[in-house]
Amino acid sequence: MNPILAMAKKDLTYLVRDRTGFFFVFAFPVIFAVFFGLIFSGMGGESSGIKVVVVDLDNSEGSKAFAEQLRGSESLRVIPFAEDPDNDLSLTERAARAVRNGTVAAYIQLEPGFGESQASMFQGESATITIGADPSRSAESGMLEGIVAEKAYSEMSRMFSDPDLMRDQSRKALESVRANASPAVRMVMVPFLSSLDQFADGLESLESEGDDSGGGGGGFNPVTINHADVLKDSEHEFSAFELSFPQGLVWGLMSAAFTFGLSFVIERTRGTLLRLRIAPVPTGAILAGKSLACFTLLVALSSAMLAFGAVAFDVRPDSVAHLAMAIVAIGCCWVGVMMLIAVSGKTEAAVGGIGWAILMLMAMIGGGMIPRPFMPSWMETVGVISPVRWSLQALEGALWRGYSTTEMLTPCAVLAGIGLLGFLCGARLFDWSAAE
Amino acid sequence: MPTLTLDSLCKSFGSLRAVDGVSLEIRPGECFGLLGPNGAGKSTTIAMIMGVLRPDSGSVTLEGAGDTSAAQARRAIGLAPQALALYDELSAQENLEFFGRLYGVTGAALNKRVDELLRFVDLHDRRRSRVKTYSGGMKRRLNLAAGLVHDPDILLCDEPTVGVDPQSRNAIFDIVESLKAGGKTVLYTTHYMEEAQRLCDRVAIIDHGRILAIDRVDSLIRDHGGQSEVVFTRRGHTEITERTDEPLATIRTIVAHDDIERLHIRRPSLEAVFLNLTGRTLRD
Repeated sequence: MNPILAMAKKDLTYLVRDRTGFFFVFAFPVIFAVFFGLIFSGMGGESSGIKVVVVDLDNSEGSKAFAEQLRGSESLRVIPFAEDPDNDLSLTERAARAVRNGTVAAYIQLEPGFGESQASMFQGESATITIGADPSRSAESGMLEGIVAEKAYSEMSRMFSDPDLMRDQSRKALESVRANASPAVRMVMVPFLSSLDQFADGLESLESEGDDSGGGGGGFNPVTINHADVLKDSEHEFSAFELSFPQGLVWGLMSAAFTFGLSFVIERTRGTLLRLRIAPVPTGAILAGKSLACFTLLVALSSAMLAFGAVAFDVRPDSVAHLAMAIVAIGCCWVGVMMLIAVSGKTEAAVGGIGWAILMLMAMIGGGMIPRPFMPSWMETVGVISPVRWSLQALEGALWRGYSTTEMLTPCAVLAGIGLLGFLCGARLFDWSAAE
Repeated sequence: MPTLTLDSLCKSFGSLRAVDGVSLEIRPGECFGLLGPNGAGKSTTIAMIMGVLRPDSGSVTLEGAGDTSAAQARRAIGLAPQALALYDELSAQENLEFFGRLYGVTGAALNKRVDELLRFVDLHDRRRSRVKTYSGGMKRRLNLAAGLVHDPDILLCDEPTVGVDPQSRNAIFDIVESLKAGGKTVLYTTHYMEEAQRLCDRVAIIDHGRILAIDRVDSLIRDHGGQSEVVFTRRGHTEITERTDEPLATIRTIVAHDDIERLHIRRPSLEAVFLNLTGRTLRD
């Protein structure tokens, strides 16, 4: 056989016989493609719009109708949110907490008097909506404002296309102006509102003649949109680096865990695991030593990166104690992940493939690639197993989300739990016989 | 100095019987050779001695320490594995210090021991160089030193000269001979009969997991090596080979004639012992 063909045949045979390599060449790309396909196709029609909660403080017919319009928007995914008698927090506080936790991108609050103001569009104050958006989602926040304004204008458009409604509105406004307004305002508004009455009559006659060319909106501002600061500390000025540093750090943590996980396999393939195995040291101590080195690296990496962020980009934590708590919990967690990576394969190639695949999946479902508010709900549910999600939440909570100690406990406890579970599983599954 | 005893050791991998009833005793201060071809079961036997592999049956005991998987026994045994077991990115000194600490050697004692060992294996000048910059022979010597860092009573050398040049091989022989002279017990596995013949006091011939013979080298040759050969040439004739149990008597008879041009004795070797015991050569 030609040497080139012989070489090619040998390499292909080798690939086919290496099941792990074969899996990553042929099966993994298919799984990857299907996974992303499901995400971007909205998982069978599920909305993938911006995830929000609507807080209706007005609770009028008008506000309910407006909330319904928001729910009907394809650009929004409105999460059900109602009074909870067992919860001491107000609806607004609960909504702000959901935003701070990253559960939703924003809350839309219909303020008291919303329905009344909307019903009397040509008089008094305009309807007020408050948007409390996650400062890390500024792009979505801008989109959200546009969507809300569009819904408000569509309400006005509906009014202009309904002669009875417009006539009723203009007559009420006319009475109010004649009774309360100053002479100057009366001079401007009375002819205008009277003409609206005539316009409604004309519109009605057009409709009766079968002309449905419709009407258009006016120059009024039907809604006032206010912005609420969802962070506890209103003095806190959010910067993009406060978002990018936790994200960047999480990728660094993944790399560190991967490198240490791989080092177990390298010990095995280079023969040094045998020396470790025959030393008069318990196997648990060997694993603990490795884990300690990994933990030290993770803590040093986190501290160094955040210190650099503080010095160079003014990324300063709301609470140093909370940040220390987050870093320790994150260190524990990623040590556990490292142990799982270490037992994911027996060769460097296998661990290289499987380890990165696991980490990529974790990043994907944990919000390392796709922001959580954009995720399909199934993905967000699955994402609770991802250390990326909890690492980001703990870091952001300590840096700029203004978490209380109680709020910090949840992500930190989950991170520590993942770490402990990963370590125990890894230690149990670690194949010492491979040191033979 | 304790005695290491292997009693009816058996180990199978699936249907392959790798070690089949190996029994032997390695006495204090001797260099014991385990001679056999590749795949004979030498490394598997070493792994069971080190407690890394659990035997299917049989036992390994170290006098005074019991089972060799116990920490006390592990401290008494050092290993120079067949595959180089070193950290390439560390220096020789760092490697030895690390392995020493695993055995509880610390502080000044560790520094002294590492320094001694580096001189012993002739790597002192390169002690701060990373191992990845070493030649194969230097790595082999360091691999041996790593097995000695805790000053064990017994050193297991598993094919320590595989893949090294003749000069490095001689250096390793010198190291093993120095260890013997220093009273260490050495178990030396090899498939090179000349190494076993040169270094070992006693040799076990192993094949297909079974011990075929154990004795001193000269006794093995006497008992299993077959006859010596006296090879001579008479003037104007071709070379003649005469097999004999009494080579001196045979030579006397031959030299009674005055037309002998050349004469030498070919004594049997361990190669011949192996051939006679197994019906094939060591390198088959």
